[in-house]
Amino acid sequence: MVCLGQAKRERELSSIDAANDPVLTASETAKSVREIPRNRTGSALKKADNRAAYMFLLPWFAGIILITALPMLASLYLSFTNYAVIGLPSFVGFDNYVRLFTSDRRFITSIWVTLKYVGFSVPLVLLFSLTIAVALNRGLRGLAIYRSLFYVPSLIGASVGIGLLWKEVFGERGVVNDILALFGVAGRGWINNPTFALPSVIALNVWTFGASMVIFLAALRQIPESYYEAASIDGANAWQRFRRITLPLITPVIFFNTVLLLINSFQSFTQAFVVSNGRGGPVDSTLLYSLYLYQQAFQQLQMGYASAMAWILLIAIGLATALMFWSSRYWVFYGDR
Amino acid sequence: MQEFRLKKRVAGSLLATSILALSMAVLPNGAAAQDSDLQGEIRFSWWGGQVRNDKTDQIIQLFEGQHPNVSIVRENADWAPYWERLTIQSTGNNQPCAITMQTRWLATYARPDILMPLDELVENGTLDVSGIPEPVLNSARGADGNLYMIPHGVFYFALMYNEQMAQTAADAGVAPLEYPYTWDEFAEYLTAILPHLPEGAASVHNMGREQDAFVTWVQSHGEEVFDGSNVAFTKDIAIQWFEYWEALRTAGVTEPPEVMISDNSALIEESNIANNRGFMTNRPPNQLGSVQTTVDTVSPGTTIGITPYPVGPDGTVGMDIGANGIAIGASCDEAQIPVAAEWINFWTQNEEAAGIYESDNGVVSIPALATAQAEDPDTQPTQVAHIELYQQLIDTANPVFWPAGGYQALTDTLNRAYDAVAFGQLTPEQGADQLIADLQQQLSQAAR
Repeated sequence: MVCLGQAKRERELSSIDAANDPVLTASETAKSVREIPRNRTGSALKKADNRAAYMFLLPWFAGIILITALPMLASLYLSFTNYAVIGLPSFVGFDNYVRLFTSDRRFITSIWVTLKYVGFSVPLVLLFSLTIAVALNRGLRGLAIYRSLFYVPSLIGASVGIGLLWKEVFGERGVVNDILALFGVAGRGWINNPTFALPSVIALNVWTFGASMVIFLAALRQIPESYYEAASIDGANAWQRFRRITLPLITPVIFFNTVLLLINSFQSFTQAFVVSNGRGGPVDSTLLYSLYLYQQAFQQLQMGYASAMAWILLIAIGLATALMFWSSRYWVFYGDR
Repeated sequence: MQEFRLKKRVAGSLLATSILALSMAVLPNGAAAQDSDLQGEIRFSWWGGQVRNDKTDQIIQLFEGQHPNVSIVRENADWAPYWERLTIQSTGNNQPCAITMQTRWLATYARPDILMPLDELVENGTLDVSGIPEPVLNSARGADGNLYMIPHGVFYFALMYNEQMAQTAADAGVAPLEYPYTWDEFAEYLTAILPHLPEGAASVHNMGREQDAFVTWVQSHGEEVFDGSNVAFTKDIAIQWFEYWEALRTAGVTEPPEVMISDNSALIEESNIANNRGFMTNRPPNQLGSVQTTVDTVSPGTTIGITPYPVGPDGTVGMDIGANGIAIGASCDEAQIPVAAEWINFWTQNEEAAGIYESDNGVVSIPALATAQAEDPDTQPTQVAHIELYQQLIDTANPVFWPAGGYQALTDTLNRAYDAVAFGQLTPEQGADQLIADLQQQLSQAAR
């Protein structure tokens, strides 16, 4: 049996060699390939290949299951329970969801604050990043240095350290007030005033426009120079060239950046947390949705309630993204259509 | 024969020595025997900064020196992370054996599956509570009546003020405040002192948003703050509170609202009182030593004093007191319980340990030890002032029973309500409505 098996394997291997032999003609190769028996050895090789692939994918699978899928399922279950972290969860059906919309004044406040934050910061980041990208795309000397300088804030902008720095900059005795004092303007505690606290947090977010700028810059460099030359010959001025050539051609990137910024802004947390000492104040003026979710989960230990909030946020982000995709058919130009 | 007698005498002496040594080893009440019997390792957690960490470390070393077979694993954290960590540890049944606990937070953790009920250990003498006043000991009981911690320090609330500014005002003819003073007399004094303060300085930190001050106000007017998990104070008393501070704020006696928000959360070196920008504030008196140390650097020559909160119109004292103590985690192994109990006894009863700690986290709960500390010439003057004011006030104090989540809830809701009033977004009446509604919602949520 052993000898028979070995002979069979050798035959099969010689068939495979024939299929790979560059001296064979196409028809011979095809014939050789057809002659490879669809037997256990072929499928064994395929299985071995698959096994190797699965082994390489295993860390990713483990990550997605253990770190993402299972906690998500757990939070979905917890959202239907009263779970105070200490003790066991008790099933309450849709009670958490009903209470959120019917009897939680701060939940509604956090939605309004978040909508204001998203509504101002996303367009402002897009505007700033596109403007700077267009300015940098003019072949400036030392472009790489400028690009790096503008990009740095987005690397560190969401950190606690920058939040603390911002607190000092916009504080009662901060740099902003020192500068205003030079012009005889009396400053104020910007982040301690309900009127100015949210704009200060938005300003911090806008300051981190570097990531979007780099993507815009890459897109701008893809536009052929000949388009602009042709437009110039036809008498188009700079604004017309930007409006008629640049803007339509980078709409896919604008769309991409908008979706990313939208998702990130809805989940924004660190800056408001640091600036308001975790309270969302003054007078709930910086109570972003994620911050209120954190307060419920980790300060008031209402993990079931917070889980319900998390799922509402997920649905809201999903709807906003879907809306963006739906609207993209009217304003995003892909060139091949 | 002589040789034999000598041998017999030596043998007799050896036998006697052996019997003595053996009897000493097996005697249960010998201190040396008790020390050598105790063995094992426990984890001990506490909150606080570097000064407290150093003192705690010294006490642990002293204890370990007396019990060579015992090891204490140190787990310390700042205030807020301490409770977050304890919650997570409790969820995983991984809480330390010896847990520093506070009466204001006790209701959240006072369950037999998180903290061990200690009554039995007290009854059988394993835990020594001798000398701890009954009301202080009872403040460490949960809603189920079980004793969950052994209090080692009692904290209270008072006001800090700049002694030099007070003297300047007195020299200018402003009659000094003499305790007991009512809230109205307090306001009159703060208004009178304002013209004598350095330019731009406020008489007092605006305490409209401070829960310690609010609790004192409510109780000094004859009302309770909580009734179980319900709000017990009336809307009227909350309105009067907001109006009281609004009157002072609009008269310029307090700082503007933007400064008010940041001042009490600021580091001491950045605070108004440390920088001669404010005359009075409401920091806890056990911080007097660290405040004075900072002030010595920031504003040399300035000394900070402490004075009690005002009393109600009829002289009622509204001051809340609380206790810090040590609890035993329910996950503590049976073999570790004697070590944890001995550690608690050492911390609460040992005079040397109390001397090292110097009432750092509340005045030491045993009055005799407190007196000894106050009379010890080596005790810091600021700590002496802290202890002496406590001894003056303790008999009139009115401890609050804080429901689960109540401390956090009152702090958050009062901050929001008064901030909205101070920034003109709500009237005092609307602020009181919001305070009561939000507080009740949070209490009910925590009690579900």
